[in-house]
Amino acid sequence: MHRKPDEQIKILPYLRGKRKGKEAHRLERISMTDAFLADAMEGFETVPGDHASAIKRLQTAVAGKSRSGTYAVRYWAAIAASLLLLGGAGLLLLRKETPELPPQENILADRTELFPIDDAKKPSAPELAENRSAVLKPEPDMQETAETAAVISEEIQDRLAPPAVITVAENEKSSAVDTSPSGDIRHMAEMKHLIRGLVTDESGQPLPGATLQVKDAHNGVFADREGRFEMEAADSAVIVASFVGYRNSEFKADTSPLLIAMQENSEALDEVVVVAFGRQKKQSPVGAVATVAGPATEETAEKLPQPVIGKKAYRRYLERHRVRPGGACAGVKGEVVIRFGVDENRRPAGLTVEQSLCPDADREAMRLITEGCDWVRGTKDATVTVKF
Amino acid sequence: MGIDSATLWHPGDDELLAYYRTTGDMAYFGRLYHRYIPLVYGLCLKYLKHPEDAEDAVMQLYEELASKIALYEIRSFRTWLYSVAKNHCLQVLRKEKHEMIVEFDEQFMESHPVDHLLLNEGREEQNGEWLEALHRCMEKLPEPQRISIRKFFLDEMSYADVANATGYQLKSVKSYIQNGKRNLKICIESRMNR
Repeated sequence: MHRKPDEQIKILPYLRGKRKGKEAHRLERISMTDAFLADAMEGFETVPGDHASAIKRLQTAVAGKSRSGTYAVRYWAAIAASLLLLGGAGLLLLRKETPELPPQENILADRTELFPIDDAKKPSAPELAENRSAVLKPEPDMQETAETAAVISEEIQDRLAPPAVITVAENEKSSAVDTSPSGDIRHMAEMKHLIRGLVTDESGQPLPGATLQVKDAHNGVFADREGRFEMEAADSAVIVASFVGYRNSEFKADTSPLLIAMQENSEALDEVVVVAFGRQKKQSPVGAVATVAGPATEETAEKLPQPVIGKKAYRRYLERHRVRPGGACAGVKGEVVIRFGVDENRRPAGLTVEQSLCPDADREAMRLITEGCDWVRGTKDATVTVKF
Repeated sequence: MGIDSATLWHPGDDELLAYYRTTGDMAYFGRLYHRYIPLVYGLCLKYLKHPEDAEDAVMQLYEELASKIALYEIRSFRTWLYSVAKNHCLQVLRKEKHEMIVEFDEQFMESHPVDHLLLNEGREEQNGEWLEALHRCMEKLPEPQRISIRKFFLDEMSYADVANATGYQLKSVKSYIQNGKRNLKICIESRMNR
Protein backbone atom coordinates (compact mmCIF):
# COMPACT_ATOMS: atom_id res chain seq x y z
CA MET A 1 0.00 0.00 0.00
CA HIS A 2 2.98 2.29 0.30
CA ARG A 3 3.18 4.54 -2.69
CA LYS A 4 5.40 7.29 -3.80
CA PRO A 5 3.72 10.67 -4.07
CA ASP A 6 4.59 10.78 -7.76
CA GLU A 7 1.95 8.25 -8.59
CA GLN A 8 -0.79 10.52 -7.43
CA ILE A 9 0.53 13.51 -9.21
CA LYS A 10 0.51 11.66 -12.46
CA ILE A 11 -3.26 11.55 -12.40
CA LEU A 12 -3.20 14.99 -13.97
CA PRO A 13 -1.78 14.06 -17.39
CA TYR A 14 -4.31 11.22 -17.48
CA LEU A 15 -7.14 13.60 -16.76
CA ARG A 16 -5.87 15.89 -19.45
CA GLY A 17 -6.31 13.07 -21.93
CA LYS A 18 -2.99 11.27 -21.87
CA ARG A 19 -4.57 7.84 -21.84
CA LYS A 20 -1.97 5.95 -23.77
CA GLY A 21 1.40 4.51 -22.93
CA LYS A 22 3.09 3.08 -19.88
CA GLU A 23 2.16 5.86 -17.47
CA ALA A 24 -1.53 5.50 -18.24
CA HIS A 25 -1.25 1.76 -17.92
CA ARG A 26 0.46 2.05 -14.57
CA LEU A 27 -2.29 4.28 -13.23
CA GLU A 28 -5.00 1.90 -14.42
CA ARG A 29 -3.06 -1.00 -13.02
CA ILE A 30 -2.70 0.59 -9.59
CA SER A 31 -6.36 1.52 -9.48
CA MET A 32 -7.19 -2.19 -9.69
CA THR A 33 -5.73 -2.79 -6.27
CA ASP A 34 -6.04 0.62 -4.69
CA ALA A 35 -9.50 1.55 -3.51
CA PHE A 36 -8.63 5.21 -3.01
CA LEU A 37 -7.39 5.61 -6.55
CA ALA A 38 -10.20 3.46 -7.91
CA ASP A 39 -12.80 5.69 -6.26
CA ALA A 40 -11.09 8.81 -7.52
CA MET A 41 -10.93 7.48 -11.05
CA GLU A 42 -14.57 6.54 -10.89
CA GLY A 43 -15.37 10.08 -9.80
CA PHE A 44 -13.39 11.58 -12.66
CA GLU A 45 -15.04 9.33 -15.18
CA THR A 46 -18.62 9.60 -14.04
CA VAL A 47 -18.77 13.34 -13.47
CA PRO A 48 -18.06 15.55 -16.46
CA GLY A 49 -15.93 18.64 -15.99
CA ASP A 50 -12.44 20.04 -16.26
CA HIS A 51 -11.05 18.10 -13.34
CA ALA A 52 -7.42 18.89 -14.01
CA SER A 53 -8.11 22.60 -13.68
CA ALA A 54 -10.17 22.08 -10.53
CA ILE A 55 -7.32 20.12 -8.96
CA LYS A 56 -4.80 22.79 -9.84
CA ARG A 57 -7.10 25.44 -8.40
CA LEU A 58 -7.43 23.47 -5.17
CA GLN A 59 -3.71 22.84 -4.93
CA THR A 60 -3.07 26.52 -5.36
CA ALA A 61 -5.58 27.37 -2.66
CA VAL A 62 -4.12 24.86 -0.24
CA ALA A 63 -0.57 25.98 -0.87
CA GLY A 64 -1.64 29.58 -0.32
CA LYS A 65 -3.16 28.63 3.00
CA SER A 66 -0.22 26.52 4.10
CA ARG A 67 2.44 29.12 4.15
CA SER A 68 5.12 28.29 6.60
CA GLY A 69 4.75 29.90 9.95
CA THR A 70 0.98 29.53 9.96
CA TYR A 71 -0.51 27.23 12.50
CA ALA A 72 -3.78 25.47 12.90
CA VAL A 73 -5.27 27.10 15.97
CA ARG A 74 -7.27 24.11 16.98
CA TYR A 75 -4.20 21.95 16.74
CA TRP A 76 -2.58 23.86 19.55
CA ALA A 77 -5.81 24.11 21.46
CA ALA A 78 -5.92 20.33 21.37
CA ILE A 79 -2.44 20.09 22.75
CA ALA A 80 -3.25 22.54 25.49
CA ALA A 81 -6.34 20.54 26.39
CA SER A 82 -4.44 17.31 26.56
CA LEU A 83 -1.83 18.97 28.73
CA LEU A 84 -4.50 20.12 31.14
CA LEU A 85 -5.88 16.62 31.28
CA LEU A 86 -2.66 14.79 31.62
CA GLY A 87 -0.91 17.33 33.76
CA GLY A 88 2.66 16.33 34.51
CA ALA A 89 2.51 13.25 32.35
CA GLY A 90 1.65 15.42 29.39
CA LEU A 91 4.60 17.65 30.05
CA LEU A 92 6.92 14.69 30.21
CA LEU A 93 5.61 13.41 26.92
CA LEU A 94 6.08 16.74 25.29
CA ARG A 95 9.61 16.96 26.55
CA LYS A 96 10.37 13.56 25.16
CA GLU A 97 9.21 14.62 21.78
CA THR A 98 11.42 17.66 21.55
CA PRO A 99 14.50 15.91 20.16
CA GLU A 100 12.46 14.91 17.14
CA LEU A 101 12.17 18.50 16.04
CA PRO A 102 13.54 18.92 12.56
CA PRO A 103 16.89 20.67 12.38
CA GLN A 104 16.79 24.41 12.82
CA GLU A 105 17.93 24.78 9.25
CA ASN A 106 14.65 23.42 7.93
CA ILE A 107 12.49 25.63 10.02
CA LEU A 108 14.39 28.69 8.95
CA ALA A 109 14.32 27.80 5.31
CA ASP A 110 10.64 27.07 5.41
CA ARG A 111 9.69 30.49 6.57
CA THR A 112 8.51 32.43 3.61
CA GLU A 113 7.46 35.57 5.37
CA LEU A 114 10.58 36.46 7.29
CA PHE A 115 10.93 39.77 5.56
CA PRO A 116 7.75 40.53 3.72
CA ILE A 117 8.29 42.67 0.68
CA ASP A 118 6.45 45.93 0.95
CA ASP A 119 3.72 45.95 -1.65
CA ALA A 120 4.75 49.31 -2.98
CA LYS A 121 8.21 47.96 -3.54
CA LYS A 122 7.09 44.64 -4.91
CA PRO A 123 8.81 43.84 -8.19
CA SER A 124 6.57 43.12 -11.10
CA ALA A 125 7.94 41.16 -13.98
CA PRO A 126 7.56 43.83 -16.66
CA GLU A 127 9.09 46.47 -14.44
CA LEU A 128 12.13 44.35 -13.81
CA ALA A 129 12.35 43.55 -17.47
CA GLU A 130 12.49 47.16 -18.45
CA ASN A 131 15.15 47.96 -15.96
CA ARG A 132 17.20 45.02 -16.89
CA SER A 133 17.19 45.45 -20.64
CA ALA A 134 18.17 49.05 -20.13
CA VAL A 135 21.10 47.94 -18.09
CA LEU A 136 22.52 45.33 -20.33
CA LYS A 137 21.79 46.40 -23.86
CA PRO A 138 25.13 47.76 -25.02
CA GLU A 139 27.82 45.16 -24.57
CA PRO A 140 31.06 46.48 -25.99
CA ASP A 141 33.14 44.62 -23.49
CA MET A 142 32.06 41.89 -21.21
CA GLN A 143 33.99 43.01 -18.22
CA GLU A 144 32.86 46.57 -18.39
CA THR A 145 29.24 45.56 -18.78
CA ALA A 146 29.55 43.21 -15.91
CA GLU A 147 30.72 46.03 -13.70
CA THR A 148 27.90 48.31 -14.76
CA ALA A 149 25.36 45.57 -14.44
CA ALA A 150 26.52 44.75 -10.97
CA VAL A 151 26.26 48.32 -9.78
CA ILE A 152 22.93 49.06 -11.36
CA SER A 153 21.28 45.84 -10.41
CA GLU A 154 22.30 46.45 -6.84
CA GLU A 155 20.63 49.80 -7.07
CA ILE A 156 17.50 48.20 -8.35
CA GLN A 157 17.61 45.62 -5.66
CA ASP A 158 17.77 48.34 -3.07
CA ARG A 159 14.76 49.97 -4.57
CA LEU A 160 12.82 46.75 -4.74
CA ALA A 161 13.38 45.21 -1.43
CA PRO A 162 15.24 45.49 1.81
CA PRO A 163 18.89 44.53 1.44
CA ALA A 164 19.64 40.87 1.56
CA VAL A 165 20.07 39.72 5.09
CA ILE A 166 23.10 37.62 5.70
CA THR A 167 22.48 35.16 8.44
CA VAL A 168 25.09 33.00 9.97
CA ALA A 169 23.02 29.96 10.69
CA GLU A 170 23.99 27.84 13.63
CA ASN A 171 24.58 24.63 11.84
CA GLU A 172 27.45 22.50 10.74
CA LYS A 173 27.70 24.22 7.41
CA SER A 174 28.70 27.53 8.90
CA SER A 175 31.65 25.91 10.57
CA ALA A 176 33.44 26.76 7.34
CA VAL A 177 33.46 30.26 8.77
CA ASP A 178 35.85 29.37 11.54
CA THR A 179 38.28 27.53 9.37
CA SER A 180 38.40 30.23 6.75
CA PRO A 181 41.91 31.66 6.99
CA SER A 182 41.11 35.19 5.98
CA GLY A 183 37.82 35.43 7.79
CA ASP A 184 36.70 37.66 4.95
CA ILE A 185 32.97 37.50 4.60
CA ARG A 186 33.09 37.22 0.82
CA HIS A 187 35.08 34.04 0.95
CA MET A 188 32.52 32.08 2.86
CA ALA A 189 31.02 30.25 -0.04
CA GLU A 190 28.95 28.10 2.27
CA MET A 191 27.33 30.93 4.11
CA LYS A 192 23.62 31.20 3.68
CA HIS A 193 21.75 34.25 2.70
CA LEU A 194 18.18 35.15 2.08
CA ILE A 195 16.99 34.66 -1.47
CA ARG A 196 13.84 36.27 -2.61
CA GLY A 197 12.05 35.67 -5.84
CA LEU A 198 8.94 35.43 -7.89
CA VAL A 199 7.59 32.35 -9.66
CA THR A 200 5.37 32.89 -12.66
CA ASP A 201 4.18 30.98 -15.67
CA GLU A 202 5.40 31.95 -19.10
CA SER A 203 2.92 34.75 -19.42
CA GLY A 204 4.05 36.32 -16.17
CA GLN A 205 1.09 35.13 -14.10
CA PRO A 206 2.19 34.26 -10.59
CA LEU A 207 2.23 30.60 -9.62
CA PRO A 208 1.27 30.39 -5.98
CA GLY A 209 2.10 27.07 -4.44
CA ALA A 210 5.13 26.36 -6.56
CA THR A 211 7.72 24.52 -4.51
CA LEU A 212 11.24 25.81 -4.15
CA GLN A 213 13.80 23.42 -2.82
CA VAL A 214 17.49 23.47 -2.27
CA LYS A 215 18.89 20.58 -4.22
CA ASP A 216 20.45 17.86 -2.06
CA ALA A 217 18.97 19.38 1.07
CA HIS A 218 15.74 19.16 2.97
CA ASN A 219 14.81 22.78 2.59
CA GLY A 220 11.63 23.67 0.87
CA VAL A 221 9.21 26.55 0.67
CA PHE A 222 6.00 27.23 -1.17
CA ALA A 223 5.56 30.36 -3.20
CA ASP A 224 2.86 32.49 -1.62
CA ARG A 225 -0.39 33.80 -3.10
CA GLU A 226 1.45 36.28 -5.30
CA GLY A 227 4.01 33.72 -6.40
CA ARG A 228 6.65 35.23 -4.17
CA PHE A 229 9.01 33.24 -2.04
CA GLU A 230 11.87 33.69 0.34
CA MET A 231 14.33 31.10 1.42
CA GLU A 232 17.79 30.75 2.77
CA ALA A 233 20.48 29.08 0.78
CA ALA A 234 24.19 29.12 0.33
CA ASP A 235 25.53 30.85 -2.75
CA SER A 236 26.73 27.57 -4.14
CA ALA A 237 23.36 25.90 -3.68
CA VAL A 238 21.13 24.92 -6.56
CA ILE A 239 17.48 25.74 -6.15
CA VAL A 240 14.88 23.63 -7.88
CA ALA A 241 11.49 25.08 -8.66
CA SER A 242 8.67 22.65 -9.24
CA PHE A 243 4.97 22.89 -9.74
CA VAL A 244 2.35 20.44 -10.82
CA GLY A 245 1.98 20.57 -14.57
CA TYR A 246 5.20 22.47 -15.08
CA ARG A 247 8.71 21.39 -15.79
CA ASN A 248 11.16 21.45 -12.93
CA SER A 249 13.74 24.13 -13.35
CA GLU A 250 16.91 24.63 -11.45
CA PHE A 251 19.30 27.48 -11.04
CA LYS A 252 22.09 28.76 -8.87
CA ALA A 253 21.11 30.47 -5.68
CA ASP A 254 23.56 33.31 -6.01
CA THR A 255 21.27 36.02 -7.29
CA SER A 256 18.38 37.67 -5.56
CA PRO A 257 15.68 38.43 -6.43
CA LEU A 258 15.19 35.51 -8.77
CA LEU A 259 12.51 35.65 -11.40
CA ILE A 260 11.44 32.21 -12.42
CA ALA A 261 9.17 31.75 -15.38
CA MET A 262 8.13 28.11 -15.43
CA GLN A 263 7.18 26.28 -18.56
CA GLU A 264 4.13 24.11 -18.86
CA ASN A 265 4.87 20.49 -19.08
CA SER A 266 3.68 19.97 -22.60
CA GLU A 267 5.54 17.47 -24.68
CA ALA A 268 6.60 19.84 -27.40
CA LEU A 269 8.56 22.21 -25.22
CA ASP A 270 11.69 20.65 -23.96
CA GLU A 271 13.32 23.54 -22.30
CA VAL A 272 13.14 25.48 -19.12
CA VAL A 273 12.86 29.20 -18.83
CA VAL A 274 14.92 30.61 -16.05
CA VAL A 275 15.46 34.19 -15.27
CA ALA A 276 17.50 35.60 -12.51
CA PHE A 277 18.04 39.16 -11.70
CA GLY A 278 21.30 40.07 -13.30
CA ARG A 279 21.01 38.10 -16.48
CA GLN A 280 18.87 39.14 -19.35
CA LYS A 281 17.84 38.35 -22.87
CA LYS A 282 15.38 40.21 -24.98
CA GLN A 283 12.50 39.49 -27.35
CA SER A 284 10.72 36.98 -25.17
CA PRO A 285 7.00 37.15 -24.40
CA VAL A 286 7.46 38.71 -21.00
CA GLY A 287 10.50 40.68 -21.87
CA ALA A 288 12.27 39.52 -18.76
CA VAL A 289 12.48 35.91 -19.70
CA ALA A 290 15.60 34.24 -20.97
CA THR A 291 15.37 30.76 -22.34
CA VAL A 292 18.29 28.94 -20.85
CA ALA A 293 17.94 25.39 -21.97
CA GLY A 294 18.11 23.06 -24.87
CA PRO A 295 21.47 22.72 -26.53
CA ALA A 296 21.89 26.43 -27.04
CA THR A 297 20.02 29.68 -27.11
CA GLU A 298 19.93 31.23 -30.52
CA GLU A 299 20.06 34.94 -30.56
CA THR A 300 20.01 37.17 -33.54
CA ALA A 301 22.74 39.76 -34.16
CA GLU A 302 26.25 39.52 -32.76
CA LYS A 303 26.26 38.10 -29.30
CA LEU A 304 28.89 37.30 -26.76
CA PRO A 305 28.52 34.04 -24.92
CA GLN A 306 27.14 34.49 -21.42
CA PRO A 307 27.72 32.50 -18.27
CA VAL A 308 24.40 30.97 -17.32
CA ILE A 309 24.69 32.12 -13.74
CA GLY A 310 24.98 35.74 -14.86
CA LYS A 311 28.01 37.92 -15.21
CA LYS A 312 27.97 39.30 -11.72
CA ALA A 313 27.78 35.88 -10.18
CA TYR A 314 30.46 34.64 -12.53
CA ARG A 315 32.84 37.35 -11.45
CA ARG A 316 32.13 36.45 -7.87
CA TYR A 317 32.81 32.83 -8.68
CA LEU A 318 36.18 33.74 -10.17
CA GLU A 319 37.14 35.81 -7.15
CA ARG A 320 36.13 33.20 -4.67
CA HIS A 321 37.60 30.15 -6.26
CA ARG A 322 40.82 31.63 -7.55
CA VAL A 323 43.86 30.02 -5.96
CA ARG A 324 46.97 32.15 -6.09
CA PRO A 325 49.84 30.22 -7.61
CA GLY A 326 52.92 29.41 -5.60
CA GLY A 327 56.41 28.43 -6.75
CA ALA A 328 57.87 30.49 -9.53
CA CYS A 329 54.63 32.40 -9.93
CA ALA A 330 54.18 33.25 -6.26
CA GLY A 331 53.32 36.86 -5.66
CA VAL A 332 52.86 37.87 -9.29
CA LYS A 333 50.26 40.54 -9.90
CA GLY A 334 48.37 41.13 -13.06
CA GLU A 335 45.76 39.71 -15.37
CA VAL A 336 45.31 36.62 -17.46
CA VAL A 337 42.95 36.84 -20.41
CA ILE A 338 41.50 33.61 -21.78
CA ARG A 339 39.58 33.36 -25.02
CA PHE A 340 37.28 30.44 -25.73
CA GLY A 341 34.20 29.24 -27.55
CA VAL A 342 31.18 27.42 -26.14
CA ASP A 343 30.40 23.94 -27.40
CA GLU A 344 26.98 22.36 -27.95
CA ASN A 345 26.96 21.12 -24.37
CA ARG A 346 27.36 24.72 -23.30
CA ARG A 347 30.85 24.04 -21.99
CA PRO A 348 33.80 26.33 -22.60
CA ALA A 349 35.94 24.83 -25.37
CA GLY A 350 39.15 25.63 -27.18
CA LEU A 351 40.64 27.77 -24.44
CA THR A 352 43.58 29.91 -25.50
CA VAL A 353 45.64 32.29 -23.44
CA GLU A 354 45.29 35.69 -25.00
CA GLN A 355 47.26 37.50 -22.36
CA SER A 356 49.67 35.50 -20.27
CA LEU A 357 50.93 36.37 -16.83
CA CYS A 358 52.88 33.38 -15.57
CA PRO A 359 52.46 29.68 -16.49
CA ASP A 360 50.84 28.65 -13.21
CA ALA A 361 48.57 31.68 -13.18
CA ASP A 362 47.53 30.92 -16.76
CA ARG A 363 46.75 27.36 -15.78
CA GLU A 364 44.72 28.50 -12.80
CA ALA A 365 42.68 30.82 -15.02
CA MET A 366 41.98 27.96 -17.43
CA ARG A 367 41.02 25.71 -14.55
CA LEU A 368 38.55 28.24 -13.20
CA ILE A 369 36.86 28.51 -16.57
CA THR A 370 36.75 24.79 -17.36
CA GLU A 371 35.43 23.97 -13.91
CA GLY A 372 32.99 26.86 -13.89
CA CYS A 373 29.38 27.05 -14.94
CA ASP A 374 27.82 26.41 -18.33
CA TRP A 375 27.62 29.15 -20.93
CA VAL A 376 24.90 30.36 -23.20
CA ARG A 377 26.37 30.27 -26.67
CA GLY A 378 26.94 33.41 -28.67
CA THR A 379 28.08 34.25 -32.14
CA LYS A 380 31.57 35.20 -31.02
CA ASP A 381 34.22 33.87 -28.68
CA ALA A 382 34.11 34.83 -25.06
CA THR A 383 37.04 36.40 -23.26
CA VAL A 384 37.41 36.19 -19.52
CA THR A 385 39.90 38.17 -17.49
CA VAL A 386 41.18 36.67 -14.26
CA LYS A 387 43.01 39.00 -11.92
CA PHE A 388 45.86 37.85 -9.76
CA MET B 1 22.43 21.04 -15.72
CA GLY B 2 20.32 17.96 -15.72
CA ILE B 3 17.52 17.53 -13.26
CA ASP B 4 18.28 14.74 -10.90
CA SER B 5 15.02 14.33 -9.13
CA ALA B 6 16.44 11.61 -6.94
CA THR B 7 18.41 14.17 -5.02
CA LEU B 8 15.37 16.33 -4.29
CA TRP B 9 13.65 16.14 -1.00
CA HIS B 10 10.79 13.75 -1.47
CA PRO B 11 9.67 13.38 2.09
CA GLY B 12 7.43 10.44 2.80
CA ASP B 13 3.97 10.93 4.26
CA ASP B 14 5.24 9.77 7.64
CA GLU B 15 8.07 12.24 7.56
CA LEU B 16 5.85 15.19 6.75
CA LEU B 17 3.33 14.08 9.32
CA ALA B 18 6.02 13.84 11.98
CA TYR B 19 7.33 17.29 11.12
CA TYR B 20 3.84 18.69 11.28
CA ARG B 21 3.14 17.04 14.60
CA THR B 22 6.30 18.38 16.18
CA THR B 23 6.25 21.89 14.74
CA GLY B 24 2.55 22.46 14.04
CA ASP B 25 3.68 24.36 10.98
CA MET B 26 1.01 24.25 8.29
CA ALA B 27 3.62 24.17 5.54
CA TYR B 28 4.26 20.51 6.30
CA PHE B 29 0.64 19.57 6.43
CA GLY B 30 -0.02 21.64 3.33
CA ARG B 31 2.58 19.77 1.41
CA LEU B 32 1.24 16.46 2.60
CA TYR B 33 -2.36 17.27 1.72
CA HIS B 34 -1.29 18.86 -1.55
CA ARG B 35 -0.17 15.55 -2.95
CA TYR B 36 -3.48 13.88 -2.12
CA ILE B 37 -5.70 16.54 -3.61
CA PRO B 38 -6.21 14.69 -6.91
CA LEU B 39 -7.32 11.59 -5.03
CA VAL B 40 -9.51 13.37 -2.52
CA TYR B 41 -11.11 15.47 -5.21
CA GLY B 42 -11.85 12.43 -7.35
CA LEU B 43 -13.24 10.56 -4.38
CA CYS B 44 -15.52 13.46 -3.51
CA LEU B 45 -16.64 13.69 -7.12
CA LYS B 46 -17.68 10.08 -6.99
CA TYR B 47 -19.87 10.62 -3.96
CA LEU B 48 -21.07 14.18 -4.32
CA LYS B 49 -21.47 14.16 -8.11
CA HIS B 50 -20.99 17.91 -8.49
CA PRO B 51 -17.60 19.49 -9.11
CA GLU B 52 -18.43 22.51 -6.92
CA ASP B 53 -19.46 20.33 -3.98
CA ALA B 54 -16.33 18.24 -4.40
CA GLU B 55 -14.15 21.34 -4.37
CA ASP B 56 -15.83 22.58 -1.22
CA ALA B 57 -15.31 19.22 0.41
CA VAL B 58 -11.61 19.21 -0.43
CA MET B 59 -11.15 22.58 1.23
CA GLN B 60 -13.29 21.70 4.25
CA LEU B 61 -11.31 18.54 4.74
CA TYR B 62 -8.07 20.50 4.60
CA GLU B 63 -9.22 22.78 7.40
CA GLU B 64 -10.64 20.00 9.51
CA LEU B 65 -7.81 17.55 9.16
CA ALA B 66 -5.15 20.07 10.06
CA SER B 67 -6.62 20.22 13.54
CA LYS B 68 -7.87 16.65 13.78
CA ILE B 69 -4.53 15.05 13.10
CA ALA B 70 -3.27 15.81 16.59
CA LEU B 71 -6.07 13.71 18.04
CA TYR B 72 -5.47 10.57 16.08
CA GLU B 73 -2.92 7.88 16.04
CA ILE B 74 -2.23 7.57 12.35
CA ARG B 75 -0.30 4.64 11.07
CA SER B 76 -0.83 5.19 7.38
CA PHE B 77 -1.85 8.68 6.41
CA ARG B 78 -3.08 7.47 3.06
CA THR B 79 -5.46 4.90 4.53
CA TRP B 80 -6.58 7.29 7.21
CA LEU B 81 -7.23 10.07 4.72
CA TYR B 82 -9.20 7.71 2.51
CA SER B 83 -11.59 6.73 5.27
CA VAL B 84 -11.90 10.22 6.71
CA ALA B 85 -12.53 11.78 3.30
CA LYS B 86 -15.05 9.12 2.43
CA ASN B 87 -16.90 9.55 5.71
CA HIS B 88 -16.91 13.29 5.24
CA CYS B 89 -18.57 12.93 1.86
CA LEU B 90 -21.08 10.48 3.24
CA GLN B 91 -21.93 12.91 6.01
CA VAL B 92 -22.45 15.69 3.51
CA LEU B 93 -24.83 13.42 1.63
CA ARG B 94 -26.69 12.48 4.80
CA LYS B 95 -27.16 16.11 5.73
CA GLU B 96 -28.54 16.81 2.33
CA LYS B 97 -30.85 13.82 2.70
CA HIS B 98 -29.63 12.25 -0.44
CA GLU B 99 -29.83 8.54 -0.64
CA MET B 100 -27.40 6.65 1.48
CA ILE B 101 -24.45 4.95 -0.05
CA VAL B 102 -22.58 1.94 1.22
CA GLU B 103 -20.63 2.49 4.40
CA PHE B 104 -16.91 2.46 4.54
CA ASP B 105 -15.70 -1.08 4.39
CA GLU B 106 -12.30 -1.91 5.80
CA GLN B 107 -12.13 -5.02 3.65
CA PHE B 108 -12.14 -2.98 0.54
CA MET B 109 -8.80 -1.47 1.40
CA GLU B 110 -7.11 -4.82 1.09
CA SER B 111 -5.48 -5.28 -2.23
CA HIS B 112 -7.47 -7.44 -4.53
CA PRO B 113 -6.15 -10.99 -4.58
CA VAL B 114 -7.06 -11.41 -8.23
CA ASP B 115 -4.44 -8.97 -9.22
CA HIS B 116 -1.72 -10.97 -7.58
CA LEU B 117 -2.73 -14.04 -9.45
CA LEU B 118 -1.52 -12.34 -12.55
CA LEU B 119 1.82 -11.41 -11.13
CA ASN B 120 4.43 -13.95 -10.25
CA GLU B 121 5.88 -11.79 -7.53
CA GLY B 122 7.04 -13.92 -4.65
CA ARG B 123 6.07 -17.07 -6.43
CA GLU B 124 9.48 -18.19 -7.40
CA GLU B 125 9.20 -21.68 -5.88
CA GLN B 126 5.90 -22.58 -7.40
CA ASN B 127 6.56 -20.67 -10.55
CA GLY B 128 6.36 -23.65 -12.84
CA GLU B 129 3.06 -24.89 -11.55
CA TRP B 130 1.58 -21.43 -11.48
CA LEU B 131 2.71 -20.55 -14.97
CA GLU B 132 1.27 -23.79 -16.25
CA ALA B 133 -2.09 -23.02 -14.64
CA LEU B 134 -2.06 -19.47 -15.95
CA HIS B 135 -1.26 -20.71 -19.40
CA ARG B 136 -4.06 -23.27 -19.47
CA CYS B 137 -6.58 -20.85 -18.03
CA MET B 138 -5.67 -18.13 -20.48
CA GLU B 139 -6.41 -20.53 -23.29
CA LYS B 140 -9.84 -21.18 -21.87
CA LEU B 141 -10.82 -17.53 -21.83
CA PRO B 142 -13.07 -16.18 -24.55
CA GLU B 143 -10.94 -14.49 -27.18
CA PRO B 144 -11.72 -10.81 -26.44
CA GLN B 145 -10.96 -11.38 -22.74
CA ARG B 146 -7.75 -13.23 -23.50
CA ILE B 147 -6.52 -10.58 -25.92
CA SER B 148 -7.42 -7.72 -23.59
CA ILE B 149 -5.82 -9.37 -20.57
CA ARG B 150 -2.68 -10.20 -22.48
CA LYS B 151 -2.26 -6.70 -23.82
CA PHE B 152 -3.02 -5.03 -20.52
CA PHE B 153 -1.02 -7.18 -18.12
CA LEU B 154 1.74 -8.55 -20.27
CA ASP B 155 2.27 -5.84 -22.83
CA GLU B 156 1.52 -3.14 -20.23
CA MET B 157 -0.85 -1.29 -22.51
CA SER B 158 -3.36 1.19 -21.15
CA TYR B 159 -7.09 0.69 -21.74
CA ALA B 160 -6.91 3.22 -24.54
CA ASP B 161 -3.93 1.44 -26.06
CA VAL B 162 -5.79 -1.86 -25.99
CA ALA B 163 -8.88 -0.32 -27.54
CA ASN B 164 -6.71 1.18 -30.22
CA ALA B 165 -4.87 -2.02 -30.98
CA THR B 166 -7.94 -4.27 -31.07
CA GLY B 167 -10.71 -2.02 -32.29
CA TYR B 168 -12.82 -2.88 -29.24
CA GLN B 169 -14.78 -0.15 -27.51
CA LEU B 170 -13.01 1.40 -24.51
CA LYS B 171 -15.84 0.33 -22.23
CA SER B 172 -15.73 -3.19 -23.58
CA VAL B 173 -12.00 -3.39 -22.95
CA LYS B 174 -12.55 -2.56 -19.31
CA SER B 175 -15.23 -5.17 -18.85
CA TYR B 176 -13.25 -7.80 -20.78
CA ILE B 177 -10.37 -7.26 -18.42
CA GLN B 178 -12.58 -7.31 -15.36
CA ASN B 179 -14.43 -10.45 -16.38
CA GLY B 180 -11.30 -12.07 -17.68
CA LYS B 181 -9.60 -11.52 -14.34
CA ARG B 182 -12.50 -13.08 -12.50
CA ASN B 183 -12.54 -16.09 -14.79
CA LEU B 184 -8.80 -16.49 -14.49
CA LYS B 185 -8.94 -16.34 -10.74
CA ILE B 186 -11.56 -19.04 -10.52
CA CYS B 187 -9.75 -21.20 -13.02
CA ILE B 188 -6.25 -20.81 -11.54
CA GLU B 189 -7.44 -21.39 -7.98
CA SER B 190 -9.25 -24.57 -8.88
CA ARG B 191 -6.16 -25.86 -10.71
CA MET B 192 -3.75 -24.98 -7.93
CA ASN B 193 -5.91 -26.52 -5.21
CA ARG B 194 -6.42 -29.70 -7.06
